[in-house]
Amino acid sequence: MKEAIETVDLLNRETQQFEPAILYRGIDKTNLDDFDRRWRPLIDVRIAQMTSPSEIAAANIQDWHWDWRDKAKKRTGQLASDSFAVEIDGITQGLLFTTSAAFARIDEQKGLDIVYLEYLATAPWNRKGFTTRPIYKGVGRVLVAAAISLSHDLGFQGRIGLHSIPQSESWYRDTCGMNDLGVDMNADHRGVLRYFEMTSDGANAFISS
Amino acid sequence: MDKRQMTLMLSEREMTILDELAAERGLSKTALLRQALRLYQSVTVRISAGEKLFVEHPETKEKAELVVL
Repeated sequence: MKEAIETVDLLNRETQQFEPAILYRGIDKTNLDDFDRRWRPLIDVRIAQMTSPSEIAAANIQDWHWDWRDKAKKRTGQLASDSFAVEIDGITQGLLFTTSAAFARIDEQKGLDIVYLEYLATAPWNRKGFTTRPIYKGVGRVLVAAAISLSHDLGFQGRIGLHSIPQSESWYRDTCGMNDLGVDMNADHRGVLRYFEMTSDGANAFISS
Repeated sequence: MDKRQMTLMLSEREMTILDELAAERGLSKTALLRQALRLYQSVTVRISAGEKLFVEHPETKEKAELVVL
């Protein structure tokens, strides 16, 4: 069930005005329709123009193959799965899937429960690289904060983790302050994706920054 | 979220283990039981889908299937 949990003001870079964004726990048909009808066509057009992986990275669309509708279907009914959406004026600006069936890897919290961010994406029009004039600033930050908040709600003290697609590595490491544990050689990630984790102290620092 | 209440009777040994696990993992007893339910369902779903659950030795990297009856 989709539930509005918070309203935050996000900067519209075009107008230089702050606009109210609603953070929802739960993704519904509206969000999936937005993905199909608003996000995907933009990404598909751009992908069709690409000839190399480096162009895809530069355009900030390494998630082009993520099918949010299929992912939502697969997670239906799973207690460990949560989802979040950010909307402005009813239009989906960002999406997140998490699972709480995950364990920490950093030595100081190794084996403890974490909220793992499975998939996080902002709408293509908010991405640097995809457009020279991205519109809303801070959508990804709101979603990471939502995961931290969920971690607190579950008793995990803010601990979170994720594997990052290459285009987002510096954002998680430098902007969010997550610990970079390097390339994960686990078969699921085939030595491609780097694993990042945030401690409880890191989560507090992120929220208060 | 709608919530329903249940009373859970545990043996002395079960309660001791629950206390120890909760302390070790930094969770309340309620949070630990909820997390156990999430994990148990997650494992059940994957096994029902034909996947296998393995544990890996930290040094030898030897993998052993965790048999769930």
